[in-house]
Amino acid sequence: MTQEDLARRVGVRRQTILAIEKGHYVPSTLLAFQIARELGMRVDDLFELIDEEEVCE
Amino acid sequence: MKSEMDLLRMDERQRLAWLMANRGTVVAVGAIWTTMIVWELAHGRAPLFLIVMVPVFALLRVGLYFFYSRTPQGLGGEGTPGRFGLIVKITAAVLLALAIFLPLYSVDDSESGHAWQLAIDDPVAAIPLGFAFLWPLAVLLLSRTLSGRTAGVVLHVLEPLIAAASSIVILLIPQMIFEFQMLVFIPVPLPVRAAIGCYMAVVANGLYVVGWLSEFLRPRVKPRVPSISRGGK
Repeated sequence: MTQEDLARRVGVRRQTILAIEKGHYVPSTLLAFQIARELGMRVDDLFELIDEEEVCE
Repeated sequence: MKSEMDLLRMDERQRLAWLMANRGTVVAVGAIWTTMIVWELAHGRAPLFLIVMVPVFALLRVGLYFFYSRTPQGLGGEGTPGRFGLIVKITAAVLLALAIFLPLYSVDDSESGHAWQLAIDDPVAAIPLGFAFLWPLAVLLLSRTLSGRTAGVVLHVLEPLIAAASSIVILLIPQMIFEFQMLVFIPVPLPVRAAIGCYMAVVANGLYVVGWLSEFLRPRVKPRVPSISRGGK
């Protein structure tokens, strides 16, 4: 599945999928669940919570 | 209410970027507004309108924040706060009615003219003045009684035209009262200068049209929200 396909299925622009992949944009809970559903995965497998200290390091 | 973001079919990331851009624009406008106030004060002039509108904008900002924070409206445009248009229209009606008690025009920068004074001095002028300043209250009351009827629909369609007529009457007051020959849509001629009440009345009419537009653009069909809980626990 391409970024374009995924974007179309969840109703966002391809650039938004790209921004999520690069970590430039944190999706809403709704969009996260929609992406997970389309990819047949769990949200936990796609996203993880990172402490700010870890990001700073 | 259908926003410009809905019309542009923005997704949630674009909406966030759009809102950030709005915030940046507001900050820039605020900086320019403050500079204009300082500039006028530095030149010995009292920019009453610029100063008075600062707390008005602040109150509007706080009011809108509490309104939206209590309305189920997500970044994806879920929810249809149909009351928004009505609240804006009521606010405009109150502002327009309050403008009756504010100075409308000053002659030679000395003598101020208030709408209520002008109406008492000249009973003939009281009719157009009453229409110009109180029409939203009358329309809001009438629209409640005429709700759903043909007359109510016609009244609703005519509202922006009435707002325009009200603004023209307010701008023509100097001609009516002081017998100045003034062309429509040309600023009030010297030595009559528009004052805070005149500006506020015209802005209130514009605000009413904004409320009318938001009602007009409101989606009539409830948006379909994707169900992510289907089949869940």
